[in-house]
Amino acid sequence: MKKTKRKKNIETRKHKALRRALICLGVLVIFSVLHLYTFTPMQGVRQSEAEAGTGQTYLIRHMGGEKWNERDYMTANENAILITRVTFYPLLGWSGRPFGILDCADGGDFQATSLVWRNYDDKANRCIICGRLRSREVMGIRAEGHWDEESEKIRTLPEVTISGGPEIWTEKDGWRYFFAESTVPDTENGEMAYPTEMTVTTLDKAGNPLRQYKGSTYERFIPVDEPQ
Amino acid sequence: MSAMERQEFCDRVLAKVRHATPKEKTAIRAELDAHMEDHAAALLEAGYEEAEAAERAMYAMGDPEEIGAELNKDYPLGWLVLSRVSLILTVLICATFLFSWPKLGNTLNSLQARIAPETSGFASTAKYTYERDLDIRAEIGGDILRIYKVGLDVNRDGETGNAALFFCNYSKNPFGYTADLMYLECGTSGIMESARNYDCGWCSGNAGAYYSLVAKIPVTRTDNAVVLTDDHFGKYVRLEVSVPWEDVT
Amino acid sequence: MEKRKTIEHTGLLVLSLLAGEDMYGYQMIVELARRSDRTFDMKEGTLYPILHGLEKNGVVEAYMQEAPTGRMRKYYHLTKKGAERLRAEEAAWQAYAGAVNAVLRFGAGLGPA
Repeated sequence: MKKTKRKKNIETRKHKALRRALICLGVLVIFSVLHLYTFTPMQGVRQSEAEAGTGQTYLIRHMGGEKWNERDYMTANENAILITRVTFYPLLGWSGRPFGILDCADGGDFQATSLVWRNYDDKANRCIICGRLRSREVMGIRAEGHWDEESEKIRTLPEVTISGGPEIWTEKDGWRYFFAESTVPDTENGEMAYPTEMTVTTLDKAGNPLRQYKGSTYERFIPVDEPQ
Repeated sequence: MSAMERQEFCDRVLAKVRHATPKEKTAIRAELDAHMEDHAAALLEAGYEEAEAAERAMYAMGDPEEIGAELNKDYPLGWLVLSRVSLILTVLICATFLFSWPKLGNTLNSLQARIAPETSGFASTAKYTYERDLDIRAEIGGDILRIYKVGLDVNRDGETGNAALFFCNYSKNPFGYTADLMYLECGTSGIMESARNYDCGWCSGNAGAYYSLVAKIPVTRTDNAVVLTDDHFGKYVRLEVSVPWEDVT
Repeated sequence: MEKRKTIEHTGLLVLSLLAGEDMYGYQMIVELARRSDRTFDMKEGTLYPILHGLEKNGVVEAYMQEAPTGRMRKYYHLTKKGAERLRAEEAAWQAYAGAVNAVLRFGAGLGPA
Protein backbone atom coordinates (compact mmCIF):
# COMPACT_ATOMS: atom_id res chain seq x y z
CA MET A 1 0.00 0.00 0.00
CA LYS A 2 2.13 2.84 -1.22
CA LYS A 3 0.25 6.09 -1.06
CA THR A 4 2.97 8.37 -2.31
CA LYS A 5 5.37 7.93 -5.23
CA ARG A 6 8.50 6.22 -3.91
CA LYS A 7 11.66 8.28 -4.04
CA LYS A 8 15.16 6.99 -4.65
CA ASN A 9 16.42 4.50 -2.06
CA ILE A 10 19.33 5.25 0.24
CA GLU A 11 22.26 3.15 -0.89
CA THR A 12 23.70 0.78 1.71
CA ARG A 13 27.43 0.54 2.35
CA LYS A 14 27.59 -2.88 0.74
CA HIS A 15 25.87 -1.61 -2.38
CA LYS A 16 28.15 1.42 -2.60
CA ALA A 17 31.27 -0.68 -2.10
CA LEU A 18 30.27 -3.19 -4.76
CA ARG A 19 29.33 -0.44 -7.19
CA ARG A 20 32.70 1.27 -6.73
CA ALA A 21 34.57 -2.02 -7.00
CA LEU A 22 32.77 -2.81 -10.25
CA ILE A 23 33.61 0.59 -11.70
CA CYS A 24 37.24 0.11 -10.67
CA LEU A 25 37.30 -3.26 -12.41
CA GLY A 26 35.75 -1.72 -15.52
CA VAL A 27 38.38 1.00 -15.61
CA LEU A 28 41.14 -1.61 -15.18
CA VAL A 29 39.80 -3.61 -18.11
CA ILE A 30 39.38 -0.58 -20.39
CA PHE A 31 42.84 0.73 -19.64
CA SER A 32 44.33 -2.70 -20.23
CA VAL A 33 42.59 -3.28 -23.54
CA LEU A 34 43.43 0.19 -24.84
CA HIS A 35 47.03 -0.28 -23.70
CA LEU A 36 46.88 2.95 -21.75
CA TYR A 37 48.49 1.44 -18.67
CA THR A 38 50.37 -1.79 -18.06
CA PHE A 39 49.20 -3.10 -14.70
CA THR A 40 51.27 -6.25 -14.50
CA PRO A 41 54.82 -7.12 -15.57
CA MET A 42 53.44 -9.76 -17.95
CA GLN A 43 51.52 -7.04 -19.77
CA GLY A 44 54.86 -5.30 -20.16
CA VAL A 45 56.22 -8.52 -21.65
CA ARG A 46 53.37 -8.55 -24.19
CA GLN A 47 54.32 -4.98 -25.09
CA SER A 48 57.90 -6.07 -25.65
CA GLU A 49 56.76 -9.07 -27.72
CA ALA A 50 54.84 -6.78 -30.06
CA GLU A 51 57.81 -4.46 -30.51
CA ALA A 52 60.19 -7.32 -31.19
CA GLY A 53 57.73 -9.07 -33.48
CA THR A 54 58.25 -12.51 -31.94
CA GLY A 55 54.57 -13.41 -31.72
CA GLN A 56 53.20 -14.93 -28.54
CA THR A 57 55.89 -16.22 -26.22
CA TYR A 58 55.66 -18.25 -23.04
CA LEU A 59 57.27 -17.53 -19.71
CA ILE A 60 60.45 -19.44 -18.95
CA ARG A 61 61.68 -17.59 -15.94
CA HIS A 62 61.78 -14.17 -14.38
CA MET A 63 64.53 -12.54 -12.44
CA GLY A 64 64.35 -9.57 -10.10
CA GLY A 65 66.68 -6.73 -11.00
CA GLU A 66 68.90 -4.72 -8.70
CA LYS A 67 66.06 -2.36 -7.87
CA TRP A 68 62.53 -3.31 -6.80
CA ASN A 69 60.96 -1.73 -9.85
CA GLU A 70 63.08 -3.56 -12.43
CA ARG A 71 62.60 -7.17 -13.49
CA ASP A 72 63.90 -9.29 -16.33
CA TYR A 73 61.70 -11.80 -18.05
CA MET A 74 62.83 -14.64 -20.27
CA THR A 75 60.10 -15.85 -22.60
CA ALA A 76 60.24 -18.04 -25.67
CA ASN A 77 58.27 -19.79 -28.37
CA GLU A 78 59.21 -22.21 -31.12
CA ASN A 79 61.03 -19.59 -33.17
CA ALA A 80 62.33 -17.02 -30.76
CA ILE A 81 63.77 -16.28 -27.36
CA LEU A 82 63.06 -12.90 -25.86
CA ILE A 83 64.56 -11.19 -22.85
CA THR A 84 62.48 -8.26 -21.65
CA ARG A 85 63.48 -5.62 -19.17
CA VAL A 86 60.33 -4.48 -17.36
CA THR A 87 60.49 -1.24 -15.37
CA PHE A 88 57.74 0.24 -13.23
CA TYR A 89 56.93 3.88 -13.85
CA PRO A 90 54.00 5.21 -11.81
CA LEU A 91 52.49 6.99 -14.81
CA LEU A 92 52.93 4.16 -17.31
CA GLY A 93 52.88 0.95 -15.29
CA TRP A 94 55.21 -1.98 -15.90
CA SER A 95 56.77 -0.82 -19.15
CA GLY A 96 58.55 -3.57 -21.07
CA ARG A 97 61.39 -3.19 -23.59
CA PRO A 98 63.06 -5.94 -25.57
CA PHE A 99 66.53 -6.35 -24.14
CA GLY A 100 67.63 -9.39 -26.10
CA ILE A 101 65.99 -11.00 -29.11
CA LEU A 102 67.17 -14.31 -30.54
CA ASP A 103 65.82 -15.68 -33.80
CA CYS A 104 65.85 -19.47 -33.39
CA ALA A 105 64.19 -20.35 -36.66
CA ASP A 106 67.43 -21.72 -38.11
CA GLY A 107 67.23 -24.62 -35.74
CA GLY A 108 70.18 -26.37 -34.19
CA ASP A 109 70.65 -27.94 -30.81
CA PHE A 110 72.35 -24.97 -29.23
CA GLN A 111 70.55 -21.65 -29.61
CA ALA A 112 72.08 -18.88 -27.54
CA THR A 113 73.18 -15.30 -27.53
CA SER A 114 75.16 -12.92 -25.34
CA LEU A 115 73.96 -9.57 -24.05
CA VAL A 116 75.79 -6.72 -22.40
CA TRP A 117 74.05 -4.17 -20.21
CA ARG A 118 75.73 -1.09 -18.86
CA ASN A 119 75.23 -0.38 -15.16
CA TYR A 120 76.18 3.26 -14.72
CA ASP A 121 75.67 3.39 -10.97
CA ASP A 122 78.18 0.67 -10.22
CA LYS A 123 80.48 1.52 -13.12
CA ALA A 124 80.30 -2.00 -14.44
CA ASN A 125 78.89 -4.04 -17.29
CA ARG A 126 76.47 -6.87 -16.83
CA CYS A 127 77.28 -9.72 -19.21
CA ILE A 128 74.61 -12.31 -19.86
CA ILE A 129 74.68 -15.62 -21.68
CA CYS A 130 71.24 -17.04 -22.34
CA GLY A 131 69.53 -19.49 -24.61
CA ARG A 132 68.47 -23.09 -24.82
CA LEU A 133 69.89 -26.49 -25.69
CA ARG A 134 68.77 -30.08 -25.98
CA SER A 135 71.73 -32.04 -24.69
CA ARG A 136 71.22 -33.65 -21.30
CA GLU A 137 74.94 -34.07 -20.89
CA VAL A 138 75.64 -30.39 -20.46
CA MET A 139 75.77 -29.32 -16.82
CA GLY A 140 77.63 -26.03 -16.97
CA ILE A 141 78.46 -23.18 -19.29
CA ARG A 142 81.74 -21.34 -19.25
CA ALA A 143 81.97 -18.09 -21.16
CA GLU A 144 84.89 -15.85 -21.98
CA GLY A 145 84.62 -12.36 -23.33
CA HIS A 146 87.02 -10.64 -25.68
CA TRP A 147 87.09 -7.08 -26.77
CA ASP A 148 88.95 -4.93 -29.24
CA GLU A 149 91.36 -2.36 -28.07
CA GLU A 150 90.63 0.85 -29.93
CA SER A 151 93.50 2.96 -28.66
CA GLU A 152 97.01 2.80 -30.07
CA LYS A 153 98.43 1.19 -26.98
CA ILE A 154 97.93 -2.52 -26.67
CA ARG A 155 96.60 -3.41 -23.26
CA THR A 156 95.79 -6.74 -21.75
CA LEU A 157 92.33 -6.62 -20.36
CA PRO A 158 90.99 -9.25 -18.00
CA GLU A 159 88.76 -11.93 -19.47
CA VAL A 160 85.34 -12.51 -18.06
CA THR A 161 83.97 -15.94 -17.29
CA ILE A 162 80.43 -16.88 -16.51
CA SER A 163 79.96 -20.27 -15.00
CA GLY A 164 76.73 -21.76 -13.84
CA GLY A 165 75.68 -24.75 -11.80
CA PRO A 166 72.25 -26.38 -11.71
CA GLU A 167 70.50 -23.13 -10.70
CA ILE A 168 70.78 -21.61 -14.17
CA TRP A 169 68.59 -24.25 -15.89
CA THR A 170 64.83 -24.25 -16.58
CA GLU A 171 63.16 -27.08 -18.47
CA LYS A 172 60.28 -26.57 -20.89
CA ASP A 173 58.97 -28.47 -23.93
CA GLY A 174 62.05 -30.62 -24.32
CA TRP A 175 64.44 -27.67 -24.20
CA ARG A 176 66.75 -26.77 -21.36
CA TYR A 177 66.85 -23.00 -20.96
CA PHE A 178 69.69 -21.23 -19.24
CA PHE A 179 70.37 -17.70 -18.12
CA ALA A 180 73.74 -16.94 -16.59
CA GLU A 181 75.23 -13.56 -15.81
CA SER A 182 78.33 -11.94 -14.47
CA THR A 183 79.29 -8.38 -13.64
CA VAL A 184 82.47 -6.97 -15.15
CA PRO A 185 83.77 -3.86 -13.37
CA ASP A 186 85.51 -1.11 -15.29
CA THR A 187 89.29 -1.24 -15.46
CA GLU A 188 91.46 0.71 -13.02
CA ASN A 189 91.78 3.66 -15.40
CA GLY A 190 87.96 3.83 -15.63
CA GLU A 191 87.63 2.13 -19.01
CA MET A 192 84.45 0.27 -19.78
CA ALA A 193 85.11 -3.44 -20.19
CA TYR A 194 82.56 -4.07 -22.96
CA PRO A 195 83.12 -7.36 -24.72
CA THR A 196 82.32 -7.46 -28.43
CA GLU A 197 82.78 -11.18 -28.81
CA MET A 198 82.22 -14.18 -26.57
CA THR A 199 83.35 -17.78 -26.57
CA VAL A 200 81.20 -20.32 -24.81
CA THR A 201 82.21 -23.81 -23.75
CA THR A 202 79.66 -26.33 -22.57
CA LEU A 203 80.80 -28.58 -19.73
CA ASP A 204 79.66 -31.95 -18.49
CA LYS A 205 79.02 -32.92 -14.89
CA ALA A 206 82.71 -33.44 -14.17
CA GLY A 207 83.58 -30.06 -15.64
CA ASN A 208 85.13 -31.43 -18.81
CA PRO A 209 84.58 -29.33 -21.93
CA LEU A 210 82.13 -30.75 -24.45
CA ARG A 211 81.77 -28.23 -27.25
CA GLN A 212 82.82 -24.69 -28.05
CA TYR A 213 80.81 -21.87 -29.64
CA LYS A 214 81.67 -18.37 -30.69
CA GLY A 215 79.59 -15.27 -31.40
CA SER A 216 79.51 -11.48 -31.35
CA THR A 217 77.44 -9.90 -28.62
CA TYR A 218 73.73 -9.75 -29.44
CA GLU A 219 74.30 -12.29 -32.25
CA ARG A 220 73.73 -16.01 -32.39
CA PHE A 221 76.46 -18.37 -31.17
CA ILE A 222 77.94 -20.62 -33.85
CA PRO A 223 79.80 -23.89 -33.13
CA VAL A 224 83.55 -23.41 -33.50
CA ASP A 225 84.23 -26.63 -35.35
CA GLU A 226 81.64 -25.90 -38.06
CA PRO A 227 82.61 -23.95 -41.19
CA GLN A 228 81.39 -20.33 -41.10
CA MET B 1 18.14 25.01 25.11
CA SER B 2 16.36 21.78 24.20
CA ALA B 3 18.17 21.73 20.86
CA MET B 4 21.56 21.89 22.65
CA GLU B 5 20.71 18.94 24.88
CA ARG B 6 19.54 16.94 21.88
CA GLN B 7 22.85 17.70 20.20
CA GLU B 8 24.77 16.52 23.26
CA PHE B 9 22.72 13.33 23.29
CA CYS B 10 23.56 12.66 19.65
CA ASP B 11 27.22 13.46 20.25
CA ARG B 12 27.36 10.83 22.96
CA VAL B 13 25.71 8.27 20.72
CA LEU B 14 27.99 8.99 17.77
CA ALA B 15 31.10 8.87 19.95
CA LYS B 16 30.59 5.11 20.14
CA VAL B 17 30.16 4.61 16.40
CA ARG B 18 33.76 4.24 15.29
CA HIS B 19 33.69 3.59 11.55
CA ALA B 20 30.92 5.79 10.22
CA THR B 21 31.66 8.35 7.53
CA PRO B 22 30.78 12.01 8.21
CA LYS B 23 27.82 11.67 5.85
CA GLU B 24 26.54 8.62 7.73
CA LYS B 25 26.99 10.37 11.07
CA THR B 26 24.98 13.35 9.88
CA ALA B 27 22.20 11.02 8.78
CA ILE B 28 22.11 9.21 12.15
CA ARG B 29 22.09 12.50 14.00
CA ALA B 30 19.22 13.81 11.87
CA GLU B 31 17.19 10.67 12.43
CA LEU B 32 17.63 10.64 16.22
CA ASP B 33 17.04 14.36 16.41
CA ALA B 34 13.84 14.14 14.37
CA HIS B 35 12.59 11.35 16.61
CA MET B 36 13.11 13.37 19.76
CA GLU B 37 11.53 16.41 18.15
CA ASP B 38 8.45 14.42 17.10
CA HIS B 39 8.09 12.92 20.56
CA ALA B 40 8.50 16.31 22.26
CA ALA B 41 5.87 17.82 19.92
CA ALA B 42 3.45 15.02 20.81
CA LEU B 43 4.03 15.64 24.53
CA LEU B 44 3.51 19.38 24.03
CA GLU B 45 0.14 18.63 22.46
CA ALA B 46 -0.66 16.41 25.42
CA GLY B 47 -0.22 19.44 27.66
CA TYR B 48 3.33 19.25 28.96
CA GLU B 49 5.57 22.32 29.29
CA GLU B 50 8.23 22.76 26.63
CA ALA B 51 11.18 22.06 28.92
CA GLU B 52 9.60 18.99 30.46
CA ALA B 53 8.44 17.65 27.11
CA ALA B 54 12.00 17.87 25.80
CA GLU B 55 13.40 16.16 28.90
CA ARG B 56 10.85 13.35 28.78
CA ALA B 57 11.45 12.81 25.08
CA MET B 58 15.18 12.49 25.65
CA TYR B 59 14.78 10.21 28.64
CA ALA B 60 12.48 7.96 26.63
CA MET B 61 15.29 7.38 24.12
CA GLY B 62 17.40 5.51 26.62
CA ASP B 63 21.09 5.44 27.39
CA PRO B 64 23.06 7.13 24.59
CA GLU B 65 26.21 5.10 25.13
CA GLU B 66 24.24 1.87 24.91
CA ILE B 67 22.50 3.00 21.72
CA GLY B 68 25.84 4.02 20.26
CA ALA B 69 27.46 0.69 21.12
CA GLU B 70 24.64 -1.23 19.42
CA LEU B 71 24.70 1.08 16.40
CA ASN B 72 28.43 0.54 16.07
CA LYS B 73 27.76 -3.09 15.16
CA ASP B 74 25.81 -1.93 12.12
CA TYR B 75 28.78 0.01 10.76
CA PRO B 76 31.65 -2.45 10.42
CA LEU B 77 34.89 -1.60 8.64
CA GLY B 78 34.85 -4.19 5.83
CA TRP B 79 32.71 -2.65 3.10
CA LEU B 80 34.04 0.79 3.90
CA VAL B 81 37.59 -0.30 3.16
CA LEU B 82 36.60 -1.85 -0.15
CA SER B 83 34.63 1.24 -1.05
CA ARG B 84 37.49 3.62 -0.32
CA VAL B 85 40.22 1.48 -1.87
CA SER B 86 38.17 1.08 -5.07
CA LEU B 87 37.56 4.82 -5.25
CA ILE B 88 41.22 5.73 -4.74
CA LEU B 89 42.37 3.16 -7.29
CA THR B 90 39.84 4.37 -9.86
CA VAL B 91 40.89 7.98 -9.39
CA LEU B 92 44.59 7.14 -9.65
CA ILE B 93 44.16 5.07 -12.78
CA CYS B 94 42.02 7.72 -14.46
CA ALA B 95 44.61 10.33 -13.50
CA THR B 96 47.23 8.49 -15.53
CA PHE B 97 45.08 9.14 -18.58
CA LEU B 98 46.25 12.75 -18.45
CA PHE B 99 49.64 11.35 -19.25
CA SER B 100 48.78 8.47 -21.55
CA TRP B 101 46.09 9.97 -23.77
CA PRO B 102 48.61 10.54 -26.63
CA LYS B 103 48.66 6.75 -27.00
CA LEU B 104 45.24 7.09 -28.56
CA GLY B 105 47.03 8.99 -31.30
CA ASN B 106 48.84 5.74 -32.04
CA THR B 107 45.48 4.07 -32.54
CA LEU B 108 44.34 6.80 -34.92
CA ASN B 109 47.55 6.38 -36.87
CA SER B 110 46.99 2.63 -37.02
CA LEU B 111 43.46 3.10 -38.33
CA GLN B 112 44.61 5.64 -40.88
CA ALA B 113 47.20 3.17 -42.18
CA ARG B 114 44.38 0.72 -42.80
CA ILE B 115 42.07 3.15 -44.52
CA ALA B 116 44.07 5.81 -46.32
CA PRO B 117 47.82 5.51 -45.82
CA GLU B 118 48.71 8.05 -48.45
CA THR B 119 46.99 10.78 -46.45
CA SER B 120 49.06 10.20 -43.33
CA GLY B 121 51.48 12.84 -42.14
CA PHE B 122 54.11 10.13 -41.82
CA ALA B 123 53.84 9.10 -45.47
CA SER B 124 56.65 10.17 -47.74
CA THR B 125 56.00 13.18 -49.91
CA ALA B 126 58.46 12.05 -52.60
CA LYS B 127 57.13 12.43 -56.12
CA TYR B 128 57.81 10.26 -59.10
CA THR B 129 57.12 10.66 -62.77
CA TYR B 130 55.00 7.55 -62.88
CA GLU B 131 53.04 6.45 -59.88
CA ARG B 132 50.48 3.75 -59.26
CA ASP B 133 48.35 3.22 -56.19
CA LEU B 134 48.37 -0.30 -54.82
CA ASP B 135 46.91 -2.30 -51.96
CA ILE B 136 49.10 -5.30 -51.38
CA ARG B 137 48.99 -6.66 -47.83
CA ALA B 138 50.83 -9.42 -46.05
CA GLU B 139 50.85 -10.64 -42.49
CA ILE B 140 54.20 -10.50 -40.69
CA GLY B 141 53.96 -11.78 -37.15
CA GLY B 142 51.32 -9.73 -35.37
CA ASP B 143 51.47 -6.93 -37.94
CA ILE B 144 50.26 -6.25 -41.46
CA LEU B 145 52.65 -4.94 -44.10
CA ARG B 146 50.87 -2.88 -46.73
CA ILE B 147 52.39 -1.60 -49.95
CA TYR B 148 50.23 1.30 -51.04
CA LYS B 149 52.13 2.91 -53.92
CA VAL B 150 54.88 2.26 -56.40
CA GLY B 151 56.81 4.98 -58.22
CA LEU B 152 59.06 5.04 -61.24
CA ASP B 153 61.53 7.51 -62.67
CA VAL B 154 62.86 6.64 -66.12
CA ASN B 155 66.38 7.34 -67.29
CA ARG B 156 67.08 9.11 -70.55
CA ASP B 157 67.64 5.86 -72.40
CA GLY B 158 64.02 4.99 -71.78
CA GLU B 159 64.86 1.44 -70.90
CA THR B 160 66.22 1.69 -67.39
CA GLY B 161 65.00 3.54 -64.38
CA ASN B 162 64.68 3.75 -60.63
CA ALA B 163 61.69 2.44 -58.76
CA ALA B 164 60.42 3.24 -55.28
CA LEU B 165 58.09 1.36 -52.97
CA PHE B 166 55.83 3.15 -50.53
CA PHE B 167 54.65 0.92 -47.69
CA CYS B 168 53.50 0.95 -44.09
CA ASN B 169 53.38 -1.51 -41.26
CA TYR B 170 50.65 -1.62 -38.63
CA SER B 171 49.63 -3.93 -35.81
CA LYS B 172 46.63 -6.21 -36.25
CA ASN B 173 45.30 -4.90 -32.95
CA PRO B 174 44.67 -1.15 -33.42
CA PHE B 175 45.46 -0.57 -29.75
CA GLY B 176 48.63 -2.66 -29.85
CA TYR B 177 52.26 -2.02 -30.69
CA THR B 178 53.92 -2.38 -34.06
CA ALA B 179 57.27 -4.04 -34.60
CA ASP B 180 60.13 -2.24 -36.29
CA LEU B 181 60.71 -3.07 -39.94
CA MET B 182 64.14 -4.40 -39.21
CA TYR B 183 64.29 -7.54 -41.26
CA LEU B 184 62.92 -6.40 -44.61
CA GLU B 185 64.91 -7.10 -47.71
CA CYS B 186 64.35 -5.60 -51.09
CA GLY B 187 65.68 -6.24 -54.53
CA THR B 188 65.23 -7.33 -58.13
CA SER B 189 66.48 -10.30 -60.18
CA GLY B 190 66.99 -12.33 -57.07
CA ILE B 191 69.57 -9.93 -55.62
CA MET B 192 68.23 -8.96 -52.23
CA GLU B 193 69.64 -6.67 -49.61
CA SER B 194 68.43 -5.02 -46.47
CA ALA B 195 65.78 -2.43 -47.23
CA ARG B 196 67.71 0.05 -45.15
CA ASN B 197 70.65 -0.05 -47.56
CA TYR B 198 68.63 1.59 -50.27
CA ASP B 199 68.70 5.30 -50.67
CA CYS B 200 65.90 6.96 -48.71
CA GLY B 201 65.35 3.72 -46.77
CA TRP B 202 63.46 5.97 -44.48
CA CYS B 203 61.07 5.13 -41.72
CA SER B 204 58.71 7.37 -39.81
CA GLY B 205 55.75 6.84 -37.52
CA ASN B 206 54.84 5.71 -34.04
CA ALA B 207 53.82 2.52 -32.22
CA GLY B 208 50.54 2.58 -34.16
CA ALA B 209 52.07 2.39 -37.62
CA TYR B 210 55.40 2.89 -39.36
CA TYR B 211 55.69 4.34 -42.87
CA SER B 212 58.61 3.58 -45.11
CA LEU B 213 59.99 4.46 -48.50
CA VAL B 214 62.54 2.35 -50.28
CA ALA B 215 63.88 4.20 -53.30
CA LYS B 216 66.47 4.08 -56.08
CA ILE B 217 65.83 0.43 -56.82
CA PRO B 218 67.37 -0.07 -60.27
CA VAL B 219 64.91 -1.57 -62.74
CA THR B 220 64.68 -2.17 -66.48
CA ARG B 221 61.81 -2.77 -68.84
CA THR B 222 62.45 -6.47 -68.82
CA ASP B 223 63.49 -6.81 -65.21
CA ASN B 224 60.52 -4.93 -63.87
CA ALA B 225 59.43 -6.65 -60.69
CA VAL B 226 60.54 -5.44 -57.31
CA VAL B 227 60.54 -8.04 -54.59
CA LEU B 228 60.13 -7.40 -50.90
CA THR B 229 60.87 -10.23 -48.49
CA ASP B 230 60.86 -10.70 -44.77
CA ASP B 231 62.31 -13.77 -43.15
CA HIS B 232 62.51 -13.91 -39.40
CA PHE B 233 61.18 -15.98 -36.55
CA GLY B 234 60.40 -18.81 -38.89
CA LYS B 235 57.99 -16.88 -41.08
CA TYR B 236 58.82 -16.13 -44.67
CA VAL B 237 56.89 -13.51 -46.59
CA ARG B 238 57.46 -12.56 -50.22
CA LEU B 239 55.74 -9.77 -52.04
CA GLU B 240 56.22 -8.94 -55.68
CA VAL B 241 55.36 -5.56 -57.14
CA SER B 242 55.25 -4.79 -60.86
CA VAL B 243 56.78 -1.51 -61.85
CA PRO B 244 54.37 0.44 -64.12
CA TRP B 245 56.47 0.43 -67.35
CA GLU B 246 53.25 0.23 -69.39
CA ASP B 247 52.47 3.81 -68.37
CA VAL B 248 55.77 4.99 -69.87
CA THR B 249 55.33 6.47 -73.33
CA MET C 1 19.05 -12.01 28.79
CA GLU C 2 15.64 -10.44 28.97
CA LYS C 3 16.92 -7.33 27.24
CA ARG C 4 18.32 -9.34 24.33
CA LYS C 5 15.06 -11.17 23.84
CA THR C 6 13.26 -7.86 23.60
CA ILE C 7 15.55 -6.68 20.84
CA GLU C 8 15.19 -9.88 18.86
CA HIS C 9 11.44 -9.80 19.15
CA THR C 10 11.44 -6.14 18.27
CA GLY C 11 13.02 -6.95 14.95
CA LEU C 12 10.17 -9.31 14.15
CA LEU C 13 7.65 -6.70 15.30
CA VAL C 14 9.23 -4.04 13.09
CA LEU C 15 9.04 -6.28 10.06
CA SER C 16 5.44 -6.99 10.82
CA LEU C 17 4.67 -3.26 11.06
CA LEU C 18 6.36 -2.58 7.74
CA ALA C 19 4.42 -5.36 6.06
CA GLY C 20 1.45 -3.03 6.30
CA GLU C 21 3.02 0.25 5.15
CA ASP C 22 6.30 2.14 4.99
CA MET C 23 7.03 3.93 8.25
CA TYR C 24 9.60 6.15 9.93
CA GLY C 25 11.15 5.51 13.34
CA TYR C 26 8.90 7.51 15.65
CA GLN C 27 5.83 6.34 13.79
CA MET C 28 6.84 2.73 14.49
CA ILE C 29 7.18 3.39 18.24
CA VAL C 30 3.72 4.97 18.37
CA GLU C 31 2.14 2.21 16.30
CA LEU C 32 3.80 -0.52 18.33
CA ALA C 33 2.53 0.99 21.59
CA ARG C 34 -0.94 1.40 20.13
CA ARG C 35 -1.29 -2.13 18.80
CA SER C 36 0.09 -3.85 21.83
CA ASP C 37 -1.85 -1.61 24.22
CA ARG C 38 1.41 -0.42 25.73
CA THR C 39 2.68 -3.92 26.59
CA PHE C 40 5.80 -3.26 24.52
CA ASP C 41 7.35 -0.26 26.14
CA MET C 42 10.98 -0.26 25.14
CA LYS C 43 13.62 2.42 25.20
CA GLU C 44 12.92 4.24 21.94
CA GLY C 45 16.54 4.87 21.00
CA THR C 46 17.24 1.15 20.82
CA LEU C 47 14.94 0.90 17.82
CA TYR C 48 17.51 2.53 15.59
CA PRO C 49 20.36 0.02 15.93
CA ILE C 50 17.77 -2.61 15.02
CA LEU C 51 16.56 -0.66 11.99
CA HIS C 52 20.07 0.04 10.73
CA GLY C 53 20.97 -3.62 11.23
CA LEU C 54 17.94 -4.73 9.21
CA GLU C 55 18.92 -2.24 6.50
CA LYS C 56 22.48 -3.58 6.45
CA ASN C 57 21.19 -7.12 5.95
CA GLY C 58 18.95 -6.10 3.07
CA VAL C 59 15.77 -6.99 4.94
CA VAL C 60 14.51 -3.41 4.71
CA GLU C 61 15.30 -0.51 2.38
CA ALA C 62 15.29 3.16 3.30
CA TYR C 63 14.43 6.37 1.46
CA MET C 64 14.00 10.02 2.35
CA GLN C 65 10.67 11.83 2.15
CA GLU C 66 9.63 15.30 3.16
CA ALA C 67 7.44 15.60 6.26
CA PRO C 68 4.67 18.21 6.66
CA THR C 69 6.97 20.13 9.01
CA GLY C 70 9.47 20.53 6.18
CA ARG C 71 12.04 18.12 7.64
CA MET C 72 13.28 15.15 5.67
CA ARG C 73 12.26 11.85 7.23
CA LYS C 74 13.87 8.48 6.71
CA TYR C 75 11.22 5.94 5.79
CA TYR C 76 11.76 2.19 5.89
CA HIS C 77 10.31 -0.26 3.41
CA LEU C 78 10.08 -4.05 3.63
CA THR C 79 11.98 -5.81 0.84
CA LYS C 80 11.08 -9.11 -0.76
CA LYS C 81 13.79 -10.74 1.30
CA GLY C 82 12.24 -9.10 4.37
CA ALA C 83 8.77 -10.40 3.56
CA GLU C 84 10.15 -13.92 3.28
CA ARG C 85 12.00 -13.55 6.58
CA LEU C 86 8.82 -12.27 8.24
CA ARG C 87 6.85 -15.27 7.04
CA ALA C 88 9.52 -17.66 8.29
CA GLU C 89 9.86 -15.95 11.66
CA GLU C 90 6.11 -15.75 12.08
CA ALA C 91 5.77 -19.46 11.44
CA ALA C 92 8.57 -20.18 13.92
CA TRP C 93 6.97 -17.92 16.52
CA GLN C 94 3.56 -19.53 16.10
CA ALA C 95 5.13 -22.96 16.56
CA TYR C 96 6.99 -21.76 19.69
CA ALA C 97 3.93 -20.03 21.16
CA GLY C 98 1.80 -23.08 20.42
CA ALA C 99 4.25 -25.35 22.22
CA VAL C 100 4.35 -23.05 25.27
CA ASN C 101 0.57 -22.89 25.37
CA ALA C 102 0.30 -26.67 25.13
CA VAL C 103 2.63 -27.15 28.08
CA LEU C 104 0.82 -24.52 30.14
CA ARG C 105 -2.61 -26.05 29.40
CA PHE C 106 -1.32 -29.39 30.49
CA GLY C 107 -0.06 -27.90 33.77
CA ALA C 108 -3.29 -25.89 34.22
CA GLY C 109 -5.05 -29.13 34.99
CA LEU C 110 -3.78 -28.60 38.56
CA GLY C 111 -5.96 -25.93 40.11
CA PRO C 112 -7.76 -25.14 43.27
CA ALA C 113 -10.38 -27.70 44.12
